Amino acid sequence: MTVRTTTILEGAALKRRVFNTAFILPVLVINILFFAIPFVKVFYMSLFKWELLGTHSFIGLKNYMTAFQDKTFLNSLGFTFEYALLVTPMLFVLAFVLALLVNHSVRGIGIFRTIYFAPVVISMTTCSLIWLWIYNDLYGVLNYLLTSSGLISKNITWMNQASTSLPAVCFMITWKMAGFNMLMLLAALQGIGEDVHEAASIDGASGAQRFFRITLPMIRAHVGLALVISIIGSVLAFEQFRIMTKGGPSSTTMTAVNYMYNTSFKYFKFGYGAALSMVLLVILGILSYFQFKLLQDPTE
Amino acid sequence: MKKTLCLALAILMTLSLIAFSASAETTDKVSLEIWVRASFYDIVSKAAAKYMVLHPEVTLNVVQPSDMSDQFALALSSGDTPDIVSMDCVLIPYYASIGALADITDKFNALAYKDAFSGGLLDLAKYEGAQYAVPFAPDVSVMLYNKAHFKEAGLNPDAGPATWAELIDYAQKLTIADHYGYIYGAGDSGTMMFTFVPYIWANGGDVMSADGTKSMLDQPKAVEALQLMCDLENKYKVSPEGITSYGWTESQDAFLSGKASMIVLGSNAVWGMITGKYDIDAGICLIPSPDGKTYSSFSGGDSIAIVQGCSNPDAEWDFIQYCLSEEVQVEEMAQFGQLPARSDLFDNKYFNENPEFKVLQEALRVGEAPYSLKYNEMYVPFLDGVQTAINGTMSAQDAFTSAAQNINALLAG
Repeated sequence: MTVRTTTILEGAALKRRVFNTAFILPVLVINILFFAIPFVKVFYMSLFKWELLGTHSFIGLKNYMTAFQDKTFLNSLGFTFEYALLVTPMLFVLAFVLALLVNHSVRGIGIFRTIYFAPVVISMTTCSLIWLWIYNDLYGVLNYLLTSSGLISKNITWMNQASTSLPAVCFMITWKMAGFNMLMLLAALQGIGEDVHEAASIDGASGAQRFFRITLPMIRAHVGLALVISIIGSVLAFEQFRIMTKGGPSSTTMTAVNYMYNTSFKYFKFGYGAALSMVLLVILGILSYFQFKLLQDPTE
Repeated sequence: MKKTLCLALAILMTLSLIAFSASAETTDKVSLEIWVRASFYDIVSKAAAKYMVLHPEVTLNVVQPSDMSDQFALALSSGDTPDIVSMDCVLIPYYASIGALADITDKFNALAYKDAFSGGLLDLAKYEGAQYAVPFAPDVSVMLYNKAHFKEAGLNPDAGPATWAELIDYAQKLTIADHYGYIYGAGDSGTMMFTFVPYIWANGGDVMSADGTKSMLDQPKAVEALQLMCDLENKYKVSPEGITSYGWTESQDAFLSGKASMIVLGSNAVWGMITGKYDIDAGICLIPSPDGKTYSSFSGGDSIAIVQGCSNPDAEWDFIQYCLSEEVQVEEMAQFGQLPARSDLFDNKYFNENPEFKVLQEALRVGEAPYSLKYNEMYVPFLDGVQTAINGTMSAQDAFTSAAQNINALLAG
C-alpha cells in the first residue's frame, strides 16, 4: 500500500515537472535560438579577423585590445553614457508625474493614459524625422514659435553642436518614451492597496510622507526594472542620433552602437564589430547587476 | 485489402508523375533574382516585366532591399545571394576586390556600344584591369538656382555662376533676411562627396591618388576648395549657420522652400523641376570652377553586376544587356528624366525637348568619382575634416591634413 502511494505521488510529481517544463520550453527555445547561439557565435567571431568574404584568421584577444585603444570607440562610449545619464532622470521624473496623475479612477482617465502612451507606439525613425523637422533652424516650427513669442531673437541651430543637440534629442526621447515608463509605474502604483494609504493617513502621514515612505518603497522592484530597461535602451541608442545628428558634428554625437554598426556593416570588419558588441554587453551586464543590487529591498 | 493497396499505389504513381512533370518543367524555367536600390526600382521592375514578355521561359524577381550595402553584405555572409545586383557605383571596387562579383570582361568587350559609357563610371566598375560591372543608371551633380531670387537680386536668371568669384558674388547678392545665397549638406558624408568634391576636381585637386592608395586631401588644390566653403560660411556668411547639421533632405528642402537660392543636387532633382513635381522655377548649370573653364561633377548612380557563383551567367548577362538597350535606357529611363548610361542614346526625343538635360550630359562627360576599396571607411575622416574646418575648430589646411592622415592610416590597415 505504501509502495503504491509513493509510486502515485512520484508519478504526479513527474507529471507536474513535465507540465512545468512544457511551459518553460517555448521561452527556453527562443532564448537558445536568439540569444545563446548568437552570443556564442559573436564571441567566436570576436576572436577572429573576420572579413565579409574569404577565410577568417584567428587573432585571439587582439580585437579586444584594439577596442580599448580605439579613441573613436572610447569617445562614443563616453558620449553614450553622457546621454544615458541625462535622459534617464528626465524620463523618470516625467514618467512618475504622469503615473501619479493618471493613477485615479475618474471618468475619462483612460483618454489621458492613451494620449501619454501614444508616442511610444510611433517608430523611433518616424519620431526622429518629425523632431528633426521641428528643430530645423531654417524652417522648423520650434524656432518659429520661440522667435514669434520673443523668447529668442535669433534662430538656434539645435543640431549644429553637441551642447544643444544632446538636450534636444533627450527631450524628444522623453516625449516618446515617458509613456512606457509611466505604464510600468502605474501598474506598480495600482498594486498598492487603498487601505495602506488610508492607514497611513489615519496615522497622520502627509502626502509627501506617504509617497516617500510608502509608495516608493513598495514599488521599489518595479522602479528597478523600469530603470534597468531604460538604461539599457539609452546605452543602445542608435536611430535617434543616426537620423537627427548623424553622429556629428565631427563625430561628437556618435553613440557606441552607431560606431559598431559602421564597423560591421559599413567597414565590414565583423570580427572587430563583434568584439565591440561583447564589450558593450559586459558593460551593460555590470550596470544592470549594480542597479538591481542598489534597488533590492534590504528587508528581503 | 488488395483493392485498397492497389488504389494507394495508383495514387502514389499519379502523384509521382505530377511531381516529376512539375520538376521537369521547373528545370526548363530560368528564375533570377535582381536586387536594386529604391531610386531605380521602378525602372528595373518595368524592364523586368517587358523582358518576361519577350522571354516567357525566364522569371525575374526584382527586390528592393532596405539598405543595399547592409543587405548585400548579409546576403554574402550567409551565402544566399541574388543573381544580379544594381548598386552604388562607388562600392563596386570593394565588392569586386573580395570576389563577390563575377568577372564580365569578355562579355563587356563584346558589346558594340562599350565605348559609349562615361570613362569615370567605367573605371569604377573595374578592379585590377578586369570589368566587374556596367554603368546602368548614372546620377551627376549639377548646380540649381532659384530664378525668382536671381531676378530680385538683379542677376541674369538664364545663367548661373560660372566661376568661384561669381559664386561668392552671387551668393552675397542673394543673401537677404529671408534666404541664404548658397546651401549644402555638410552633415552627411555622401552628400558632401556628391556636392563638394567636384569643387576639388575643378580646381585640379583630388580626393585620392589615381591608384586609390593615398589620400590627396592635404594637397593645396583640395584645401583651396575647402577654404571656399569655409569662406562662404564664415567670411561672407552666405550659407546658414547650421550647415554642418544638414544632410541631403534638409539642404534640398531649404532650397525648395525658398530658404536658399543656390544648391548642388542631382539628376532626380532636375527632373523634379522639369515635371513640376517641385513648385519652383529653377535654372541649372554646371558646378562653378575657379576659372569658369574646367568643370567637374560627381559621376554617381548605379552600376549593374552579376554576383559571383550565380547559376546562369548567360541568362543574367542577357537581362543586363536588355537593361542597357534603347528600350530601357530611352523608353523607361530618359522618358522619365533618368540620364541614360550610354552617350549614343543621349540624342533622344525626350531629352531634345529639354535643354536642361544637355547640362546633365555635359556633367556626365566631365564627371569623376573617387576610386577606393575602402570608400565607406573614408566617410568619417573626410566629413570630420570638412566639419572641423567649417566650424572653425581647425584651419582648412590642418583639417584636411588630419583627414588625409586618418584616411591613409585606414588604407594602410
